[in-house]
Amino acid sequence: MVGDDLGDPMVIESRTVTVTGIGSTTYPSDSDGDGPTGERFIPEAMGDSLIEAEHQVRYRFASAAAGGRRVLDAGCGVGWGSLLLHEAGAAAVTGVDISDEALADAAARAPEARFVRADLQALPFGDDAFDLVTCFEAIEHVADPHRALDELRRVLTPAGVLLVSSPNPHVYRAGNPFHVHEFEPSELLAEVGRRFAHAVVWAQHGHVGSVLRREGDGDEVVTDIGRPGSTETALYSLVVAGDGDLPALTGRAALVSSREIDHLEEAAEALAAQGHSVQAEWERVHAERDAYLAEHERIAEERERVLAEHAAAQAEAARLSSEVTSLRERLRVADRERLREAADRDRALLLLLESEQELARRLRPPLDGPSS
Amino acid sequence: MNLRFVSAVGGSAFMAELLEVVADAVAGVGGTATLHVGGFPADDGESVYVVVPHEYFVLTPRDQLPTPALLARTVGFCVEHPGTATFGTTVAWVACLGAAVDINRDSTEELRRRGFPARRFTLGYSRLWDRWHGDAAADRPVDITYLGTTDVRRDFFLCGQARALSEWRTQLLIPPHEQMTRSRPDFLMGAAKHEHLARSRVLLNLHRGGSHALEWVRVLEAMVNGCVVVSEHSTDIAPLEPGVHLAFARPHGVVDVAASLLRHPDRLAAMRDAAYALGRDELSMRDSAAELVEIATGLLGRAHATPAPPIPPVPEPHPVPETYQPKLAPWAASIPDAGRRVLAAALASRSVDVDAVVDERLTGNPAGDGRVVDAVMVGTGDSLARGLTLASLGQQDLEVRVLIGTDHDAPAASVKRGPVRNGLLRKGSNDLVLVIEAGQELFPRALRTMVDALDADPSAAAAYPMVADPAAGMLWNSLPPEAERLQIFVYLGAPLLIRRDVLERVGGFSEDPAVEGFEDHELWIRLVAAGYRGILVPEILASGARTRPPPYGIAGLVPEVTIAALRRAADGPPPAVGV
Repeated sequence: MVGDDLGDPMVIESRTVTVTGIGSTTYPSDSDGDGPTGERFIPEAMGDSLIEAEHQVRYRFASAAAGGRRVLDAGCGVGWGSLLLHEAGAAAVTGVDISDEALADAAARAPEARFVRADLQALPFGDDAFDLVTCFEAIEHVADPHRALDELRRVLTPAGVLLVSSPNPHVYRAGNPFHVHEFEPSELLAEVGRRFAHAVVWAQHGHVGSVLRREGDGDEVVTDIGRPGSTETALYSLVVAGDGDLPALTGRAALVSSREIDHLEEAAEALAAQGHSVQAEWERVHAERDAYLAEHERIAEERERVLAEHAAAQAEAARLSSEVTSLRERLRVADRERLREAADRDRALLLLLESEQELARRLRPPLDGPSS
Repeated sequence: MNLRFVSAVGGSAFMAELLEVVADAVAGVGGTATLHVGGFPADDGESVYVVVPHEYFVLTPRDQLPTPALLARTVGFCVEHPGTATFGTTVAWVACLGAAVDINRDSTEELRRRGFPARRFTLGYSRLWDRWHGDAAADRPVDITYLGTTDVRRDFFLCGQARALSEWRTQLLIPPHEQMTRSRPDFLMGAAKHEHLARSRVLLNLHRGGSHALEWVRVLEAMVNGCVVVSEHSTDIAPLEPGVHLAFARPHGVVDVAASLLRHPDRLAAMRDAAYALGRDELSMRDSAAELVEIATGLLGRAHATPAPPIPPVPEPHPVPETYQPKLAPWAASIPDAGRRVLAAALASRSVDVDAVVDERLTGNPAGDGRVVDAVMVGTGDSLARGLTLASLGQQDLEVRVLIGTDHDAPAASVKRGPVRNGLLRKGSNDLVLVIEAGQELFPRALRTMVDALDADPSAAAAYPMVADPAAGMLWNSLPPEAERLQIFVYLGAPLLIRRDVLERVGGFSEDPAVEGFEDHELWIRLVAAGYRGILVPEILASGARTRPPPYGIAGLVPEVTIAALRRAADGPPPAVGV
């Protein structure tokens, strides 16, 4: 058994933790970032939001099949769904997640449940360990979802039931950095269907709704869906599969308050205000850019002018250099000529010296006459 | 027997020094010799007197002249050459004396020819002259020196060789041809002269007037101090050998021959050593000194043997030569006084726009110390003359800011040099001002030499070089500024380097039209009267014509006005304006 190979699963003790995020194989760490990323549902942080309704409807849908069963909540996160499954009468609930922080939170939230840190691709449980496996919004995070599906199949009893969901890449906002592979509804049905005798795909759409009820009335209300969508247009697809008879499940709707819409309006207004600010900033930046461009153009013109001057100066320098060379040559010739003339002059002066002395010697007798 | 060498009061230093050397030579041969100045010392019956007749008897008052008896015991020491007035004086007095010796061959022969049994006194080496002592390694910072008194002929030949002279380190000391009784910048005496010769490599020698005889005293003084003599051809040179002990040349070539020797130091040294050895070893005065003692001894024995001839008259002093002194122009002589004054007033009334005639150039070669000299130059529209001067300023080793004033409207009779120069001065700012005239040329190192002279003597107000005027064959600016001489001669002019503050303190140049053409002369009169001193740079470092009075100017019309203005300048107050 795989579980034997991996040893005893690590049981997370119940304790009180502060939930700061969610985690899984490709989940961001709970301690990363400034707040919840939305990848893991944390009721304290995300109540009254669409994501709560999405989780509510998936787990309450599963809760209908949980009674008396050993349930594995694969990708349990902070254990919110595990608690619902336990409250729905499950014989035992085991939560699995890759994040220690999430599991610690889960243990505190659902003390009756057991939580184990494990990878969906290598579950530390023996075969046929569970009657019901839920795997909501987790399969898209693992590196090898097919292996994970194999593992989910392995730990189920032959009569067990698997409920697995995935965002529909045709509808879901693209670019989620934590999602490794999002299954199209038909793809998810086919992959799961290969591993079970029976498989049915359910479509999970998001709706804006309005509830009319009296105070004190129960939760029972008649729900009218104005424009039901198709499976292919569903935001999420959920496949219910099993080799035996599939449990009789009915479609569910979970409603949360519309404050998120109010918040969205506020956010929109804030965004609009921010947009104005951004617009102003953009205009300022644009103006600055224009100024920079003008400056750039001026500098470019100045550069051109300087380059032209530089080129002219280089040409002038070349001309002057040539002139200097020419003058040096003339100077060299002149120096040579000067030296030659100096030598000539020196010879002439020497000749003058000698001839004058000779003249003096010849003049001496006629000038001085006989010595007295 | 005592030989008493007597010089006259006011006698020349040259003669006194010569007698001192001869007296030393007499002492060297065992004679008793003493030196005296003034009247003959008291007769002790054992004394014989030695005087230079042409000087002693002219300078000594007649009532102090020695008696005929003493004259009969007097030996005339003759130094003048035949053909000169002083030789005539010598001859006249030798007739009254007991005996005569002569240092020159020609004059000795002439005295004999005239019946006077003169003996030749051969000059030679004297230890009193030797300041060199044969030290071949002694420094000689002067290449060429010249120690002759001023003379038209000498000046002519020096002018003709001025440019060649300027290539060497020269010291030309050209005192006036006067009785020199004391040392002065252009005249060295005794030890100073001999030390100067010991610091000089070559002495130029030119004959004065029509003389051809070698100037033996000067030549010997040079020889014994290792200064090689380059002389114009001379008579009476034996035993000197041309080309061995000294060099000869025709007068216009003495500088070239000197240059040839200077360019061949070995040849120069050989000549120097040969001359020194000849003087020390062969040209001794011992024989002549002994002969002088013998002559004197003979005189004692035959005193009063012959009646004394009558005492000759004292010759009249030579007339003072004219040098551009203000005098009535010949063309103006026929104009009545009133008419001349009207013409002079008309010339004086012309005004000049100083600001409109200023040009300015920066020339010369920066010396690296940032020093700039202002040059003020006045011309009369002759661009060639200005160009010559500017070109010469461009060759100076200092930066020169030339301020040019040209009195374009100047008639030949009047150039407003004073106002124009003062206008140029106001536009300048540098501490030293070179005053130069268009057409004058400064030789390349002239300005640096003048500046160095002023730097070395902070108490001096101005410096100027000698100037050659080759066209006129004249040398001027060759004498120092002297109050008495400035009253007689006009001999100083541009170029002149003067301190600006001094020039400003004395009021700049005179703007009095009466001194047109005499501006520099008038300035020097005022400078000297105010106690300022000028440095005569003893080198010919410029050429060109001297500023002259305009041919039809005020000085020629009413010279008495110009003379009066110059006299006023000597009295000190600022120059007056107006005629």
